Amino acid sequence: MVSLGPAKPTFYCVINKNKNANLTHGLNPSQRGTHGRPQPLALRHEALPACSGESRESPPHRSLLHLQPFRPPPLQSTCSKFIIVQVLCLSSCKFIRMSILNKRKKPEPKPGGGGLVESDRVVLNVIKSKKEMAIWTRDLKKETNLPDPIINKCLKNLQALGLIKEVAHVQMKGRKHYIAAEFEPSKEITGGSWYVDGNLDTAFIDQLKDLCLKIIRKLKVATADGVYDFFKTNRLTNTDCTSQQISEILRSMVLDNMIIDVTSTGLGEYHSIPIGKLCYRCPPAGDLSQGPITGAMVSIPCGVCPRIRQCTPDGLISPSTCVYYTKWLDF
Amino acid sequence: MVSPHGIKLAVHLISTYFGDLVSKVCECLLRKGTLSLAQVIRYTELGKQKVSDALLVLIQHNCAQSFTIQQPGGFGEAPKIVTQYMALHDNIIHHMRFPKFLAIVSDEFGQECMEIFEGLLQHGRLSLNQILDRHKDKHRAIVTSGENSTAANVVHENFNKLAQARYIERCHAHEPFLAPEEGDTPAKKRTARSKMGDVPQTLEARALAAAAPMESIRFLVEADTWSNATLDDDSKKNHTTEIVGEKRKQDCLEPIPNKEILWRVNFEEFVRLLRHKCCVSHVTTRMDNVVGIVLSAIFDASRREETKVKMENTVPLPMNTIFEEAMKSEEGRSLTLERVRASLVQLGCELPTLGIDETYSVDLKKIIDQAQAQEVESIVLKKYGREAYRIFRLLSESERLYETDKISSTTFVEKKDALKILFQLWKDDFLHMERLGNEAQKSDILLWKLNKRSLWEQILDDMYHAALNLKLRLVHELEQAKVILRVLKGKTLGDEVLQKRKRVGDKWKVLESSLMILDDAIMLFHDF
Repeated sequence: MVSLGPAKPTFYCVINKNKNANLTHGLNPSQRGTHGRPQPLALRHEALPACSGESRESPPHRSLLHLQPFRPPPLQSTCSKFIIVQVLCLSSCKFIRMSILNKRKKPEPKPGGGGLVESDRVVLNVIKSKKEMAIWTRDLKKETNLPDPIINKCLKNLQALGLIKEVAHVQMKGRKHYIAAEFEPSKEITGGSWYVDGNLDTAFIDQLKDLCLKIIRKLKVATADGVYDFFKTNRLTNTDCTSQQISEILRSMVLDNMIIDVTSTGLGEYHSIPIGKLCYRCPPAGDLSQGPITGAMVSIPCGVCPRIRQCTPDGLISPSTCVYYTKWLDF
Repeated sequence: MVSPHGIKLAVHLISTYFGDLVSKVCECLLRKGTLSLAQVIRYTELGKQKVSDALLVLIQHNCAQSFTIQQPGGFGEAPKIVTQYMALHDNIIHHMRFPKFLAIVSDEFGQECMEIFEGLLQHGRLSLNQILDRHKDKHRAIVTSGENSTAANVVHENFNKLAQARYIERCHAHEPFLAPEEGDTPAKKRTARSKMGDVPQTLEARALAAAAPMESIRFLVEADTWSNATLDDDSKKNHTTEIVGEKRKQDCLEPIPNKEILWRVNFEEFVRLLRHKCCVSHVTTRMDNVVGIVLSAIFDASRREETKVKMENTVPLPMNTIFEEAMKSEEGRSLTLERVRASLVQLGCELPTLGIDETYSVDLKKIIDQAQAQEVESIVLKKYGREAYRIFRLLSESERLYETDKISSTTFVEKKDALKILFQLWKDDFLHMERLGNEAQKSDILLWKLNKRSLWEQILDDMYHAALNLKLRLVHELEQAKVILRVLKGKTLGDEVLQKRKRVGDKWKVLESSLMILDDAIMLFHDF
């Protein structure tokens, strides 16, 4: 926390700058001597409400961080004391005038985080620390220990500066997640290559499935690599597909019974494929995806009846009073 | 252990064929297991005569088996010999398949053989003489006395054909005695190894094994013929005057002086045949015709060598035998050796590295498993939709636990939808779910698994339930039609009435054919 660097809350900078201009000839408080008196500190306390309302809302640790010891050089005589009082009076007037100006004119944050306020910086650091895993706003609040309005403001600022971005979490769509601009969200967040904005890209998947089916029909028997090579050589899609993606598509097509997976025998149609290698082909009886023709149970109402467990010969639901049967036998 | 709806269906079948009394006794045996006569009387609360009559009917029709065991007597009493009765659930359900069995015999051997076979199905068990008498009764009007001997020869010949094809067999022993097992005697302690090594056979299985005729005489007709030949003409005449049913009763109740050999239908052979057909049909659909031809050829070539119905692998056969058998069929004539070999590889056979001893054995269990999975998948597809079908197929590939995220990503189903589907399948007992606590995410990880064994049992029970429902609906429809027909009796039939009749006929056809198809699926899950 101490290593925040040169950027400090604006109002403190203003105060110090003004006071330093008169009292310490532009030296930073940290650069001044170790002897100190309580007067300047009292002055600072008087000046604080005029600087900004934000300062009172700042958490104690932040105040501690910025209330650097302010120790003016030791005074030698009463004359010099008088001069100093005059100077201070003048300077305080000037300070008030300038602080009003400063309040109106908010300093523009510089790109790269140079002009960020402290809370922005804290929030940004926490977000950055999560790298490609992104962070949920609730977790951000816990980690930074900042109130909601400040966090929201910070997030807005940081987003406006292009330092962070919002990402959709594939599994928790209702929760806002933020990630630093320099990172790409991880697979856990996006759901992998098949997801766009947290939603499954079904159109793309279906398109790939169709293409794969056409390729397998054309090639008759093909391995996953064979299908991928076909894709590459013929440039069938605008988007780039990886070999892994093609394998995943083929696997899902097997589960869909659109194609079947077989092991190459090296004979006949498999002559170009090494023996024992997994390859894909279309089912001989055409598209099996509509389910087996011989499904005995599905051809009768009881096979898919949602009330089969409640059905008894003499019960309220029975085969003689069954509406599904009546509908089925209505010809 | 028979499933609840399996018992209900069996009881319904017995009730339809033999009446309520017999079905009550049968239900008692199916639900309570093996019982003595006294126990059956106690449980059914029926009279002794009625119970024994019902048991005799069940035994006559091969739906029950009796056997005697030795039970220890009371204090100071000698051990008692008690007759026990057990219901044969499989045989009861086979009654539903009689039209299929008849069609097989009719296709293979023609009408005359079918008549003999039909007699055996109707009466449960018959001797050769009874079959001859039945034939005479049936063809009395057509056949003159001079042609009697020729007709008898033809019947005998046909009977021989059926026995050779193993479609009929000698009946099991009526009341085999089961000696106490070695383990029962306290003097001889079983070693730990013997306890672990062999699974103890159930009493019922031991009784069936003891009752079964020796394999060498199971299909032997000669001995029967010779013994029958010694019978006097008088006894033959006596038999002809009696009604078959009456005589059957006498056979059961009274000891037969010249013990005739009784024959019955060999259900096992039909189940085997239908299992072969199912396998061939499955590989033909899944692969191609040639594979079906080759598998069929393997079955034909090894038909005699199969020792049990549920053979996991076919009998190993040399390449030449398979090829020759395949060439016998019309479709297989154009096949080359290389094509047959490729088909065998498609069936999962491994090519031998050395070409000297080229024998092949096909994994039938795998084919049956695939066919069963296909049936269940079709239910999932129709009931829960395409995405559920994909998820189910993923889980059925390997019976292990899958995480929801993994399922969702592999099947391309949104996690929310996947979770919904999985919960639905779990609710209907299709899946097993396990929760895994996750402290970091403060939420449970859900793992899903398909337990094939329990699911398959449940599906079979549902199938029995569906079959019972089809039967009951058929009864209901006919009952409704009866009312319509009774009203219209004696009147001229108008177009409207004819149309109604046609509609009833159509309904009957649909229900019956659906039952036959469903029965194939029941056999797939239970008998294959």
